[in-house]
Amino acid sequence: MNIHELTVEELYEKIQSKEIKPSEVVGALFDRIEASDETIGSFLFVNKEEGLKRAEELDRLQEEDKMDGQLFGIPMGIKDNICTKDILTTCASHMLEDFNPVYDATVMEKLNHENPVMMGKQNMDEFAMGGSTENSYFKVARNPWDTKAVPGGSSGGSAAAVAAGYVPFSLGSDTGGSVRQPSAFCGVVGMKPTYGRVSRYGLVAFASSLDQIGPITRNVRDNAKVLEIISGNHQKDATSMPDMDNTFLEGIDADLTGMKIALPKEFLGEGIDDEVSESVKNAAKIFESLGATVEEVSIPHTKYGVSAYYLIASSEASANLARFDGIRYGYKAEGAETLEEHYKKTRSEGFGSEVKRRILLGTFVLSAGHYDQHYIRAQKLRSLMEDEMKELFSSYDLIMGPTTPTPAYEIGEKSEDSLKMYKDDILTVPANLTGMPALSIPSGLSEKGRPIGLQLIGNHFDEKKIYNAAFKFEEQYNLHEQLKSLQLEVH
Amino acid sequence: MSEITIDTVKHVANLARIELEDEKAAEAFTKELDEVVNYAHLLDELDLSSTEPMFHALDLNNVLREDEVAEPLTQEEALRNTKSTKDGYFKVPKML
Repeated sequence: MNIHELTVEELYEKIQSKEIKPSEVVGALFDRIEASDETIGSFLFVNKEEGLKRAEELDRLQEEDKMDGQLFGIPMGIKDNICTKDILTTCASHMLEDFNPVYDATVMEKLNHENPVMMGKQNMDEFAMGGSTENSYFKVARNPWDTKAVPGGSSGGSAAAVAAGYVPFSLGSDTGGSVRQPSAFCGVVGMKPTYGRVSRYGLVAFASSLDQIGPITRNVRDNAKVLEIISGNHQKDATSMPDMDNTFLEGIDADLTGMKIALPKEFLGEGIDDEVSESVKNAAKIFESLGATVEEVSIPHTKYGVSAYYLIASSEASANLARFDGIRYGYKAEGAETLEEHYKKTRSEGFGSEVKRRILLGTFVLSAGHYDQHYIRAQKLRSLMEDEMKELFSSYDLIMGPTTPTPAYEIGEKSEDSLKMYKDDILTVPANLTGMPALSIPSGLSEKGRPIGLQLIGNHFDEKKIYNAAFKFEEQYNLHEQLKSLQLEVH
Repeated sequence: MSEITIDTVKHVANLARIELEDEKAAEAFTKELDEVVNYAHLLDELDLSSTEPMFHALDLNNVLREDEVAEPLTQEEALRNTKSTKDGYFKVPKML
């Protein structure tokens, strides 16, 4: 038995039946991280000392038959923009290099209540801005399927760690695709829940009206299980929804007969790789063989999504990142004589260039004379897109399409051309702009052997339907065996 | 016509309290921002006159709570991450 190949549910069974001890699981995974993460670069901090100590405590509880918690003894990794009390939370930025949170994010409180073991904090694009994890201040992360390729981003470390068998699950955050795109690139399952399903309290804010935290796992059931745990309202996030049904596993294997799935033609249009289109068409056939119907539809405003997204996300980012002033926390520049000089030096030295680019763009968009022309128009586009998608959901259960226009590309290939990289978000931003839930699940491998992701989008709070369809699809097609046999090249 | 000039970028950088390294950095940001803003003009071809802007994904209501005394962060916790304190306060450079 290879511990690193086991899913959350398999580990849970084996620990509950006392076949293995939490410390054996955790020890094996720390060994694996030590052996190859220098190459993969998925962790910014490995919580070895505390993690082993915690696992030994859980060993004793196991001996005493006190194995409480749905994640008892299960290792986890967390994206480094989610606040973890007494564990550094850097956002992969020089600005927060030594930031040590004094409280846990809501999702951490909820997870910790289930007795998992914290393995460490994961690499990302600085402040979650980027799609390749090349914007990390600390180091580049690599794709476990092919270390020449990017793992995607911004939750690239999280997706890479799950694919590499370092942790069976991780949390990422998704503002414009940052959970789904790296999940697609790394051949794992990633969910961006409905806006408001998961509390954002303790998630370092990028674009508050778009951000959601979501799970990354190796299979659909694990993903549903983790989302059940982290969902729910918190009084310190006024946008988190109270009183929801947060059960997703029950009925996950329901028959798909009669399910209606829409396939927008724009999702297979210009700019989408042939092998990605083929994979999605093949997925449509699989759904039909399972009793669902798939029909071609149109979301005409798809092509405007990226424009609206970058105007809105950058505007919100410029306001959110104004808090980094070098006074209460974070990097502080030396030698400033006035307060204004202090702000300027601190922010210029503390932020990387992609973060500055977005702050400048957002400040421009919100500045006098441009607000109505750019910001308001972008918010109006959002309404149009929501109307179009709501209209589809009056006759269809789900919308399907690719997660990304291409499979993972080479490290360095797009890092010099920000607009080109922004345009790649065309398929993922609609779910953020409209607040709808969307999941990425592997649907194929490219000629180069890199994973291709299928995206399933649901109406607000329809995660259950998404998981149902994804679970039945996964029974027909998955990369589970390939993930188990991934050979991590050690450089 | 280019909407973003190097002066726009310098103005916006000042508003955002970011110092551009040098003229070359300012030029690079100018080019990149101009590209993105030009691309965003795609939205101009839409008639949005009768569309309401959507600032949030969900209909949100005010969330109210009882005004009850609760435990705040301690002073020590609040100051834990600052680089500069004096007598239990955050210390900053002169404002004027």
